This record gives sequence, structure tokens and C-alpha cells, in this order.
Amino acid sequence: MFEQELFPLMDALYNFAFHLTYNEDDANDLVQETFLKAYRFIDSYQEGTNAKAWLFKILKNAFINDYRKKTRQPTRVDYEDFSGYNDADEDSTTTYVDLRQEMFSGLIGDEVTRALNELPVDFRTVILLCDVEDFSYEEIASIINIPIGTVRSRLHRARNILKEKLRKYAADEGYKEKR
Amino acid sequence: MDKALPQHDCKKFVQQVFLVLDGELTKEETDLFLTDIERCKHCLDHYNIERELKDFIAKRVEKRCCSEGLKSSIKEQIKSLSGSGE
Repeated sequence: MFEQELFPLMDALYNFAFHLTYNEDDANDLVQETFLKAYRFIDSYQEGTNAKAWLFKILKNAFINDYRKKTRQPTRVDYEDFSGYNDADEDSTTTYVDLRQEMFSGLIGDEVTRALNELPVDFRTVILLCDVEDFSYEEIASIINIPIGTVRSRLHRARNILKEKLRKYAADEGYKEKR
Repeated sequence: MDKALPQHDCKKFVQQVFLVLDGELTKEETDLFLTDIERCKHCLDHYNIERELKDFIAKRVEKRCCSEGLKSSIKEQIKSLSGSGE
């Protein structure tokens, strides 16, 4: 079970852990703790179901319960205080951020990583789970224990913030918007 | 063909962009969306920007891999726990 289904997920888990903590030692600890918890609670895993989502959920809980407490980082205030954002604000789905497609061609990976890393952790989490790990909204909702509607609105808000950051980076690098 | 399509609704379209890109709609809904997209340049531009951003994140965000040392250590610990009957 571990050898075939869970161990191959170590790299993906480490990448997620690193982007949550920005620290190699903390990411190592989180991944290690995730596997030890997976071993301890293996009875709660139904073989044949989504092992990746199960492990990511364990890691996310470990991050919230242990890492955040240990480092005394804020929990939810970071995104709730962000520009008056409200998870339930469905009007945000119509927000249009004018970002020219050509701008992306002038940006390099480091800037995308920087923009992502600057996002509040709750926004960063949904982007990583959806766009990097390709989880469905239902799986993301289960992993971070929020309603699917909140996944949707949080993703929308996160992407708009990301686009705004990338637009600023591109402008700083000399891109002129063609209007 | 266009006669079968409902009137284009930019607001509804924009709300569906992420659902299409994230694979959250049915095949029929996605096909309808992609047919409808050609009817409005504003919506098409919006869709292309969002698609580009999603691809950009997936391909270009820095990927970190677990060290071989950590992989071995975790495997050893699990093996040890299994052997001890814990």
C-alpha cells in the first residue's frame, strides 16, 4: 500500500509543503509527519479511493494544527483582511481584470513563483491544489474543509490578485499596455 | 447552427470561465461554452487570458522535490513501524 500508492506522492507533497512554509526544514517535517500520521490512521483510508487527496488533507491539517500554532502565524485573518475580501461575495465572479495576454510572454517563472508566494496562504493553497496539483473543486473542498462555493470564490479572488501582481511586474519590466 | 444557441450573456459567460478551465462542467456544457465563445471578442479575450494564466502557473511555478535522504528516512521509519507491529 505505502510502496505502491503513497510513497510515489512524496515529491508532490513536498512541493505543496514547501510552498506553504517557504522553508525546507519545515517542509521536510511536514512531509515526514504526514506519512507517520498516514501510517497511524491507515484504517481510515479506503483502498482504491483518492490516496493523493487523502495525503494532502493530512498534510494541510498538520500545517494548520501544528505548524501554524508552532510559528504563531495568523490563521484566517490574512485573507479576510485582504482588500475587504469576502468568501461569500459572488459578485466578485464578474470582476474583470484587464491583463493583456501578451504580458505573459514577457514574464518568467521566477516572477510567477514570486507572485504566488506573496499571496496570503489561504489563496495560495487553492491555486496550488487546483492549478499545480489538478485537484477538482470537490477534492479541494475536502482537503481544506470548506464548502465548494467557497473554493470557487477563493480561487476567483486568488487569480485576480495574482493577475494584478503579474501586471505590475510586467509593467515594471517595461511592458506597455496597448490600449 | 447559431439558431440553436441561446442569447450570449457576458456575465454568465465570465462566471463559467473558471469552471470550464478547471474541468468542472460536463462535456455538453463545455462544448456549448466553447461554441459560444466565438460570438463575443471581450469574452474570448477574457477566456484566453485566464487560460494562459492557468497554464503559466501549472508550467512555470517552481517545483520542489523531496530529497532522496528524506524519502529514504520516511521509508525506513514506516518499515520500522511495520516491523515492530505498531
